[in-house]
Amino acid sequence: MFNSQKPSENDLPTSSQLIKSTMIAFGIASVLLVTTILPAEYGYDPTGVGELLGLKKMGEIKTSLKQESLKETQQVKNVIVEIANDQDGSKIEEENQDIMEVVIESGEAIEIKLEMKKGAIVHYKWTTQNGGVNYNLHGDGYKGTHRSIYYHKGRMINSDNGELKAEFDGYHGWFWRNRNDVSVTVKLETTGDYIQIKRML
Amino acid sequence: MIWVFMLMPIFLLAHGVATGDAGYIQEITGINCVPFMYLGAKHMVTGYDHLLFLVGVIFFLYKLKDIGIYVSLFALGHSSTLLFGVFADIHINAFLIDAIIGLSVVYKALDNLGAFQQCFGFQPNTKISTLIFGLFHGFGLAAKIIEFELDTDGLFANLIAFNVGVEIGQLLALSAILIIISYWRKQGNFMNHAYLSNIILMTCGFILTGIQLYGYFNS
Repeated sequence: MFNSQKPSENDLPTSSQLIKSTMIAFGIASVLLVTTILPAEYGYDPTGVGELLGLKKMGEIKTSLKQESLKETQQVKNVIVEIANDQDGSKIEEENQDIMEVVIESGEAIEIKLEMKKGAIVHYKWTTQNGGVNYNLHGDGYKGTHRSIYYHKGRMINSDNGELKAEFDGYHGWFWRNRNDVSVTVKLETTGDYIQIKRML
Repeated sequence: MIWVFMLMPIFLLAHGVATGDAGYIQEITGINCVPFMYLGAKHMVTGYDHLLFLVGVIFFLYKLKDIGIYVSLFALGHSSTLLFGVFADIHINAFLIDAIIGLSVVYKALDNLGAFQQCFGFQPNTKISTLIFGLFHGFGLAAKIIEFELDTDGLFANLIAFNVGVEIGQLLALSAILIIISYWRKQGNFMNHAYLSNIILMTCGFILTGIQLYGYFNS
């Protein structure tokens, strides 16, 4: 009834072979756990092998991304609530212009956003000094709208410019991360139809 | 359940920055051989669809030579489509590919049960079917990598490293599966349990397919 015949007892491994195999498997698993998996997942590297292999950095980046994601979600919410609260009676200017310069320490990230109405258009240009940055141009809707969008992103980029058109009412802007060993300066120039510019992080 | 889905976009898109392995990959540039090897191995060891298929393939194999042949065929299949899929940037819907991978588990369980001999009066070549399903599994891996959005800088080296990692992961997973099945095979009742086990394997295959089809029609 099967596509295969029952093996004879002689074809199967002996018990002592199996026990030996199990011990070897346990040994390999323990070594892998300590030298590669814990470093790569949590940045915990008791032997130093993980660092040698470049896996410790993976664990560190993943852990920090996770923490930041939790922390920043909270911060962004707070900021958005705050802005939403003092929104009443705010004037909407047709044309705004700003130049902002920020220093990003090694490994750190910052975020600058523009409060914009749907369909509003802003021309922007940013450049960096001392190295490229990983960036992400994205937008979040006002509190409670659960809207978010990502426009584009890049790795180790020194400059970018173009036109940003808001897909919906809310905060649209840049998240920059400095993965260099030295601090980097970002200079952002914005011109166009936005209500205000705000550093979120 | 609903609140989980409502929270997800917030967590995933705190700044449109992905977390986890994808987040890591999107933060790095250039050639990173060992990390990509690790990710390939991790994907294989934690990918229950690949593992279930492997269980099906080696269920009745106990000679190391046979296991070597079948696993190599599977590896040949998924390596070629993994590389081809990424370089040709072939966008096959990940849900559909994973649904086919689920069906590959169903197929292998039916094959083990001797269903094809019973119903069609002949035994389809098991080596060729392993190779063909290997090709599908490779497209699944490729879809995963495309989702990761690898940097084009160092892409080739990183992909090769990922593929090597997939094979290492397969070897590790296979060794563990083999040890467990060997213990089981030594119990006299292995053949008695074989029927039910392959039915369970088939059930898992159908469940995997169902999950993926749901995802396909609801995304």
